[in-house]
Amino acid sequence: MPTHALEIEKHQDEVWPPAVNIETLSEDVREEIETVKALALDAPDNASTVGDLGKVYFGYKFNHAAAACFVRAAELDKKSPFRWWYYAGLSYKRASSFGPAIEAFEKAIKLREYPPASVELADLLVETERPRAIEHFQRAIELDPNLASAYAGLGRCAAMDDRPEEAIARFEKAVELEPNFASAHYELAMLLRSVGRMEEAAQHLRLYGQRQSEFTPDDPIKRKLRRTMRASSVMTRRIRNMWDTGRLDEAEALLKNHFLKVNPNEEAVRNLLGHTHMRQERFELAAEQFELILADHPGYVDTRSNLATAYQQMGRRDDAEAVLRVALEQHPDSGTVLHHLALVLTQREETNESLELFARAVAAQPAMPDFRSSYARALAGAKRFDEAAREFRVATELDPRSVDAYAELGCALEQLGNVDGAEAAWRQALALDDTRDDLVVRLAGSHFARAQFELAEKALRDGLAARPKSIDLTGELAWFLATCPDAARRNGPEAVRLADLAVQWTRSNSAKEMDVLAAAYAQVGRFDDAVRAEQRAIRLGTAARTRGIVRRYRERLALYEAAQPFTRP
Amino acid sequence: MPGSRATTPRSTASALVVFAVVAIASTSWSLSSARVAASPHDDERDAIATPTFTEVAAASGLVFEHFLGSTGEFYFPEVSSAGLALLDYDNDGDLDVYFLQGDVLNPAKTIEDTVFPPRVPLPPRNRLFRNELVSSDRTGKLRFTDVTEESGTGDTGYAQGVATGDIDNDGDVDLFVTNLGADVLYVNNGDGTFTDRSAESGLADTRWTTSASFLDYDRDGLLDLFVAAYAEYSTATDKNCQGTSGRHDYCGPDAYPAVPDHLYRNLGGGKFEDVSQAVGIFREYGHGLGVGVSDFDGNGWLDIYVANDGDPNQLWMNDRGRFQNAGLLSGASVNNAGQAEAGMGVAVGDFDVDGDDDIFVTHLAGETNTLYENVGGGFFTDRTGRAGLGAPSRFATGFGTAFADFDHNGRLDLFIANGAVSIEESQGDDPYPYRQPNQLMMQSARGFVDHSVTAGAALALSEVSRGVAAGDIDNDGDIDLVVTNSSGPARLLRNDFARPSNWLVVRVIDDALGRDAYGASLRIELSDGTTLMSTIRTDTSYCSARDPRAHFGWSDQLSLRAASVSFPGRGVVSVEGLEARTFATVRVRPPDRDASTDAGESGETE
Repeated sequence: MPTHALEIEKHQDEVWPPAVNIETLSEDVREEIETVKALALDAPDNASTVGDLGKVYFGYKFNHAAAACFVRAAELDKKSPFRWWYYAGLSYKRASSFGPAIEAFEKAIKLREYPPASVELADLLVETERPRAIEHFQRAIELDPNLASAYAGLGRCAAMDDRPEEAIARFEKAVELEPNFASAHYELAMLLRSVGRMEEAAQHLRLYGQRQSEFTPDDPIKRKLRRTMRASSVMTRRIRNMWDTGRLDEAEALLKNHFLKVNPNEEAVRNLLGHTHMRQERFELAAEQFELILADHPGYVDTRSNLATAYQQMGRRDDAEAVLRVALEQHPDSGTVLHHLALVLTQREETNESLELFARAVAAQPAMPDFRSSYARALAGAKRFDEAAREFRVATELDPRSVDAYAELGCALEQLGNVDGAEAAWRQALALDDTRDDLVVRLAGSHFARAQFELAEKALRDGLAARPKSIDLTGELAWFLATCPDAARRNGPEAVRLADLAVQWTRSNSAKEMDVLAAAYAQVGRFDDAVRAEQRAIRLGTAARTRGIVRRYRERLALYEAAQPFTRP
Repeated sequence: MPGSRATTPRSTASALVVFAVVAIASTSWSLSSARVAASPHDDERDAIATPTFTEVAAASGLVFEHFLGSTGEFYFPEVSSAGLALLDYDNDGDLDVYFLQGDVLNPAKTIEDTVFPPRVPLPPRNRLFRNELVSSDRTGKLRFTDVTEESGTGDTGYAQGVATGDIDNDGDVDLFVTNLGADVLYVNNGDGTFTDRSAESGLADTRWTTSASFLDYDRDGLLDLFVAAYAEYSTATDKNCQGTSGRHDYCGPDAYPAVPDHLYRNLGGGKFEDVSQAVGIFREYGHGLGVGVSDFDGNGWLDIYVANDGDPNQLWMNDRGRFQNAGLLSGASVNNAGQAEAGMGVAVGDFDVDGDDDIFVTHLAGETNTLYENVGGGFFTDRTGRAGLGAPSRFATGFGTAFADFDHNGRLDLFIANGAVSIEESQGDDPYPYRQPNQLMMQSARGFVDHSVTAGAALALSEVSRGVAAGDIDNDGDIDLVVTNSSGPARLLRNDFARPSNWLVVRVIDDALGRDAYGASLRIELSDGTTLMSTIRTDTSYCSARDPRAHFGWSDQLSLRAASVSFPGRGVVSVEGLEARTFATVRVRPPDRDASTDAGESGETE
């Protein structure tokens, strides 16, 4: 039975499209809502556009309207309705409509046994249906034995059922798994106090006090929705819009002259101001803002990380490292801090410690693909290609749309001699992003190395067909046609035409493209032109201090001066 | 339901004076003897007969409308005002009502510039309404008369809260009003008029003060005063805040720094001294809103609980007149998840019938209201979830609140006055979109259940409620409520509970001091061994003062076996002659009070 007339009334909002009065909202917010709403109305059977409207409503706390959109999106989405039901549950929960929230979470769980969703559901059942709550907490633990919030939930149930010793054991497990779980420390302290273990209680209260900024562990899907919500705040949205349209000075002025005066959340304004300065490449000013935030909130780990980035950009690597080491002392298990510090140490070529920190970052947050990739990159740098390939592969599993992870997986596999594997990885990367010329070149190079000249040429021609203005691919194909060991595949005139284009596009200022043009001229017998082009390549290369390459240019110059073309072995 | 109300014996409305006849010298009142793990009458207690409430303010002449004074700037103090007091200022045996009023805050604007023009006599001022229930014409009909002018209580400051207590032990109740600006002390002259003694009293604090409570913290017989303070604020430094949607809205507490609360010692002669620093109160503070006083740890000294808006609450434990904040370890500072919540109002009462006072705090929408059970030794445990008070409270922002046994089943129920503090977007067309319905949470052996929808039309109103004060306004033996609404009319919710039951309303007078025995506890023992307890108080709720009389309800299957009054640190006095379904005034003298000291103190204050 609904507990209140208000709740009954609010449920009327479930009709789609939900009626929301936005007349009194500010103009930019109305515009944002209207835009997304128009898209949803244009495609009312598209789960994605309907769900996007739900996200906007969620961002502006029209919780029931958001829930109505998410429910509709769930019903429309035949492939993956799980997240929409999960979002509907979160929206109803935030609207304090617990009955519909329970229903939505139950539907989500039936579709996918996602442990954080089980915990959300169980949390709602703790007061009214404790046995069911316990079942869901237990199931969440079966699925993810490291889910601290589920242990805390079981602890809460035990405490409510007057089983303090069991509750203590559950909370102890929760804080063991998640040492920054502040609320669990507090609840544990209260339980220890209730059984007279005062010293331990005081110890956990201290730990709670040190960790107040980090409350409950979050899950990645909920985090995505929260990001939407944060991005929807008026101030953030306006500033982001200015960033996106290059109006950085305007953003700075608005933050300084308006928001800093009127917005009570000063650290949020300073954070945006710091990021604006980062984009302006005024790193000193950015650092100043981040330092001001930290003066009041020394435990803000993200701000400390931002400050370190600003210091890095200013060349103050010692300071960046120092800032991150303080952060690490405060949050020894923060994956973000471990990862960032490892990156700084990598720049400083302190390989051993950076590898250790990357490994700890991955252990702290095993589901972060960026951490995996960074770790893999560091392993590859240390020539531990086998481990690198393994980490890159995990990164691709965690984020199947990561082009870089596939590209670098290919490189690691190539180093291990697994050419087929490398090719497959690069092809996957190219399927995700066909603008990656470097991967086309790598793929062609792989064929070339195995004397598969036809395939190499095809790879380059396919790439160039897709991106006909690509200087790299134009130059690469010209180089192939001018220097291929297989005479049948060489085509001097086409090589000259393509090399000439590449030179024009680089305004005759690229040593590499001048070297290609020289080879093409030599291939068609225009050795005087070849000599002049190679001499210019040498001058450009010398200016660019690329000694090794210049040496090779000189060797080729000698050939052209002797009226001989250059052919690759 | 006038027919059923006629079953209440009107004859008992005339006060029955019962004198304490036995003084028990022992101070070792055994709480354990009062504890009941599970009452044999739990089954009966499960059967909640929801009382229905009828809104009778206008019908009884209690016509008051709060004037917000808003001129469109969203000045922060507008969102928090204002409370009310129930007091028997003329000592005629019924409860009169004192309402607090707002005003235009912008010094450059006038009433003509206000967004919601006043629907009250100008200039807007606090108002005192005399209850004519027990009046010279003896009609016995609930009727109020505005006596503001003749009583001299019409302060025109921007009012927030009110406390009541007899500061000079002359037997009549005095008034203290907190304002955004100078606070006001009205001393009752005993003839229906008051004198403004603010300037000479030392109480005219000009900061933004909220709830206040009179208590005798040093046990010298004179009522001292605790005043909660909210934030450092002036309209000149008002900040322009926006809601999530970018709409101009009221700020949250973080926008303005908190300021310390104050404890004033009553020196006698109408003068007070600020002892906050000397006794340790000054050390920790937050955005103070709700206050409740009781001897929470049973050490014989009255402690002070302060609910802060967004900051950890303070539990000032009194040890022989010096205070220390019990802090996190007390369990009453933050909720079960370790989160400091937006504390607004406070209710204090023995909800679990174990002989000590527990604490209930109202909070912001999205948070739960929180029930802290007193588990002894000065420790509390958050029992919100187990008591069933969590989920039903998340949708609304609670302000005033009151523990009372509305259905006479022997368990304290809760009334919660709700009203938002930030725009409710679902009320977009409403010029004042902060409305939320109030709640009635009825308690049985299985916990609290929201009975708002079955408690009558008065509970279906959706307004911006702030203060609430509980008391038996129509002297029919059950507890009624007066609710104030921000920028709206005050409501009198008459309890029309009609189920056969027992009840008792007792005014406890400390006979040595000649005033209500604030801080003492009246306990009654029933025939099944259950002991019900009520502390004599006028504080708690939000910026409001309640009926000082103790009220009990219990099954008509049980009889009253014994009664006693326990004075903190001074022992227990048994009381004889109390009868069910009566009003009584009990005059008791604490057993270990030094008569010569009393005489000396009385001499000073006279």
